[in-house]
Amino acid sequence: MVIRKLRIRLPLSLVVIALFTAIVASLHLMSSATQSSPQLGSMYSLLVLINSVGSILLLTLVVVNVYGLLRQLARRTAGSHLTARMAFLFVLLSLAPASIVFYYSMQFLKQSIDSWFDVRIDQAMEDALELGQAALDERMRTMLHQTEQVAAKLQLAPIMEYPLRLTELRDEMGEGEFTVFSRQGRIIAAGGSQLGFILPDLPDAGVLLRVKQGKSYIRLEPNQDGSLQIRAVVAVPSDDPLFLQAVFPVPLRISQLASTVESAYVHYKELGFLRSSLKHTFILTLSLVLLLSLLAAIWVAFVSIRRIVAPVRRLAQGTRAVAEGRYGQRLAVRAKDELGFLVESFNTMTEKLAQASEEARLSRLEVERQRAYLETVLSNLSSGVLSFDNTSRLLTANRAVDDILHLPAHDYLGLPISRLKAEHPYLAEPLGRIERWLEKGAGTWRGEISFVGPTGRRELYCHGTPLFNGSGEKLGAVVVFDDVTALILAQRQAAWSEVARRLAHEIKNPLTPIQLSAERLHHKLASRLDARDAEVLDRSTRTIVQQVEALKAMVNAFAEYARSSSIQLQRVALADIVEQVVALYPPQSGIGFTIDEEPNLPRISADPLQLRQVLHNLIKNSQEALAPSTQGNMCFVLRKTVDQGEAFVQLTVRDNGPGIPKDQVDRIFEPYVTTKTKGTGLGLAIVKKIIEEHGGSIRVENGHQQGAGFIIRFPIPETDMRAEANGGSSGARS
Amino acid sequence: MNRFAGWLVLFGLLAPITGWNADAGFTVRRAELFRHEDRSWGLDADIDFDFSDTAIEAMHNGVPLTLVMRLRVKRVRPWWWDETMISENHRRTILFHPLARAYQLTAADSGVTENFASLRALLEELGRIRNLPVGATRTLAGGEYRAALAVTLDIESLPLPLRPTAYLSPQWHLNSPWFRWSFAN
Repeated sequence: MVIRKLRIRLPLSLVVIALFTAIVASLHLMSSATQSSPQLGSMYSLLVLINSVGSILLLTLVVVNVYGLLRQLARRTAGSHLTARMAFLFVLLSLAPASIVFYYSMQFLKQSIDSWFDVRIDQAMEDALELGQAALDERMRTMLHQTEQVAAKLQLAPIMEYPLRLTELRDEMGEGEFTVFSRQGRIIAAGGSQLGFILPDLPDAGVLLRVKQGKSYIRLEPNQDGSLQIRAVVAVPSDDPLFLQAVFPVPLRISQLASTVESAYVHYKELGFLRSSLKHTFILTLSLVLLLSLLAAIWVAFVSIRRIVAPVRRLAQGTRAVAEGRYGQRLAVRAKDELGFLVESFNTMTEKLAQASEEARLSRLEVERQRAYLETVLSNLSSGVLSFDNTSRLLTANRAVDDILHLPAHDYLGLPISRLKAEHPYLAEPLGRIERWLEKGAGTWRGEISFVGPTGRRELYCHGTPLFNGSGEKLGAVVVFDDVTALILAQRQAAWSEVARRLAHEIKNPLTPIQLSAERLHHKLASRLDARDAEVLDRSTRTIVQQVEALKAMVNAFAEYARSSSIQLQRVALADIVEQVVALYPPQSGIGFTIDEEPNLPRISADPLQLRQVLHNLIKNSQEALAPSTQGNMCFVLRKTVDQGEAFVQLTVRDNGPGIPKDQVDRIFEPYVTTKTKGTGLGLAIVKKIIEEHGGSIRVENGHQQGAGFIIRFPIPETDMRAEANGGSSGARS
Repeated sequence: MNRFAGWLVLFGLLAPITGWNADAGFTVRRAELFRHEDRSWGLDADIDFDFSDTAIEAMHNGVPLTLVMRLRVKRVRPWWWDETMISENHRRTILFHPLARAYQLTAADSGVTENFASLRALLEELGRIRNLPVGATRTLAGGEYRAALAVTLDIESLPLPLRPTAYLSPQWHLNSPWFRWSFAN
C-alpha cells in the first residue's frame, strides 16, 4: 500500500533515475573498496550491508509485484496476461545474458586469482627468507662468540674495574653496546657507542633463567623503526652471578635487504592465506552487483510494463462495458502514442455507438408509438380487421372482430384459421369463405357473407387484400369486414316507407271517388231496379264500399308505418304500461296474461303512447296467430340486464301460439312477412320501428320450444344508472 | 542466488549479536581502577587471551591482529541516568616476524613495541595489564561509579577480503563479555 502510494506520488522516471544512481554509486564504491582502495576499505562492510539491504528491499518489491500479478491472473483481470507475458519475456531476456556473463566472470576471476600463485615463487620466497636467516645466523654466531670473549676477559678483572674494562673491550670491537647487570637487574657497568644511551633495556626473567643454566642467549630483534639488532646475553662467572648483555645493530644495508625480503615474504604469505577469502569477496561483490542490477531492472520492468499495459487494460474494461451495453464509458487519454490513439479511437467509437443506440431507441419508441396509434385506430374502427400470414395463421385482430363475430379473437392469435372455424361452428360460412380465398391466394376479393350468430342473422361485407413486401414477396393477407345488417335493414325500411308513401298517395286518392261513386250508384239506382237487381246492386256496392274501406284501412296503416316519427319522450315505468295495456284485454278476449316483474326496475325514457302501440301490436299478433277456440296465454317477463357494459330493461314476451317458422325468423320484422291469415302484415314491422326509434332492440327469442318469443330491450338512461348506483333503486317506481 | 545472499546478510546481522563461540574466546578475569597520588587513574586487569586456531594461523601468515580493550566508566546518578565519564578504547596489535621468528606487540596509544620469542610470553604480557593510564581527559569527582571492561578482536582492522568471512565465522568471534564492577571515589 505504501509502495503504491509512493508510486502514485513520485514521477516514475525520477524514482528510477534515483534508484539506479544509488545502486551504481553504491556498487562502484564497493568494487573500488574490493580493489584495495585504502580510504574505502573501512567502508567495505557497511557498503556490503547497504547493498544487501537494498537487494532485500528490491526483492520484496519484485515479490510483491509478482504476487500482485499472480492474483490478477487468478482473477483474470484485463491485461494481466499481457503483463505476465511481457514480464516473463523481460526477465528471461535480462536474466539469460546476465547469468552467462556472471558465470564466465566467476570462472575468469577464480582462474586469475589462482594464476597469481606459483609453486616456484612459493619456494623462492621460502628460500629467500631462509637465506636471509642464514646470513643473519652467521653474523649472530660471530657476535655471540665475541660476547663470550668479552665475558671471559671481564671475568679476570675485579668488579670495580668492570666499567673501565668494558669500555676498553667495546672500543676494541668497535661496535655494540655492552651492559653488565646483576640477577636483580642492577646495572654494574655499561659501555656503548650511542650518545644518549642511558638506560639499556634488559632481557626478561625467562632469558636470565636460561642463561643461568649455562645456555647463552642470542636473538635477532626487530626494532620499532624497522631496523634489526642482535641481542646476546651470556653469564659472567663469579661468586654472585652477573650477566653481560651485548646489543649489536645489524648493518643498515643488510637490515634493509632483510626487511625487503621479509615484507615480500609476508605479503605473499598473506595473499596465499587470503586466497579463498579473496575469491569469496570478489564473488560476493559480483553477485551483489548482478543481483541489485537485475532486481532493479525487473522492478522497473514491472512498473514500466504496468504503465504500457494500463491503456490496454482500460481498453479491455471499456470494451467489456460496451459489450454490456454501457456506452457512456469514456477513457482518459494519457499518452500521445499509438495506444493513446487507440484509446481516442475507442472513445470516438463508443460515442458513435451511443449515438446510434440512442437513435435506435428513439426510432424504436417512434415505431412503438405509431404501432400503438395504429392499434388504437384499428381497435376503434367499427370494421373488423383480420390479418393472416402466408400459412393462414391469424396475426392480428381488432376489437371490432370480437363484437361482430362474437369470439375472443385475441386468444387465437398465431393459430390457423381452420382451428377458429372448428371451434366456432356458426362462423363456418364466413371463415370458410375467407379460408378458401386465402388458399387460392390471388387478387383482392369483395363479397357479402351472412351468418346466424348468437344475436341473430348478420350481414357482413368483406374486403380481402393480399399483402406484399417491398420486393414483391407475399407476406399474407388482410381481411376487412363491416357489419351491414343494420344498413340493409334500413335500406329495406326506407324502401317500404317509399312504397307506403306512394300507396297512400296514389291509391288513397282514387278510393274516395270510388266509394262515393258506388254509394251514388246505389242511391240513384236502388229505387229504380227490381228487387233482384236491387239486391245484386246492394250487395255489389256494399262489397265495393267494404273493400274500399279495407283498402283505406290498409293504406292508413301504411301511412302510419311510413309516417316520420314524432315521439314525446318521458320517464316511464315499463311495468306500469304493461299492466295498463293488459288490463284492456278482458278474459273474454280469449287470451290470458302472466306478468313476471323484477322489483325496483329502473325507469326508461319513452313515449307511453308508442309503447302502448307496441304492446297492442304484440298482443294482436299473438291473438291473430292463435288457432280459433284455443285459449291463448301470454307471458311478460321484465328484467334488468347488462350486456357488454350496457344496462337495459329487458322485456321478454312469449305466447303459446304456433310460433315462427325457422325460415322466416330473420325477416319476420319486415312488412308483409307474416304467417297469419289475418292482419295487415305491418304489426311487427311497426313494433320494430317504434322500438328502434327509442334506441332499443327487438329480436326473436332463439331456442324457445313452443310459441313465439320476442326479446325487447330498452336502454336505461345514464342519469338513472347513476342514481341507481348511488342510492339504489328505491325511488325507481315512484 | 537470491536466497544465498539473503542468508548471508542475515548471518552477518545476527552473528555479532548472538556472539556464539566454539571454545576459543577472551575473558576478563579481574579489573580494577586505582588512583595515583597525583590524582590520575590507572587500570590493572588480568585477561585470558585464548585465540582460535584460525586466528593464530592467520597471524603466522602475516595477518596482523588488532585487539581493542574497551573501558567504560559511568557515574551513578540516582535521579537521572548515569553519566558516562570515561569511554576509552586501547588498541594492541600483534604481529609475527618470520625473519626474526619473533612476535611483536604494539600499543597503539603509546607506540611502544615489544618483542617476544614465544606467543605464550606475548599473551602473558598482554593479559597482565598493570598501571594503564586512563581518564586523562576527565577527572572523576566523588561519587558512585560503575565500570566495565571488555576485549574484542577488531574485524574491521583485518584485511578486506577476510572481513566478510570473519563476520560470519565463529572462529573470529573471540570477544569477551563485559566485566563489570563498581567503586566509590
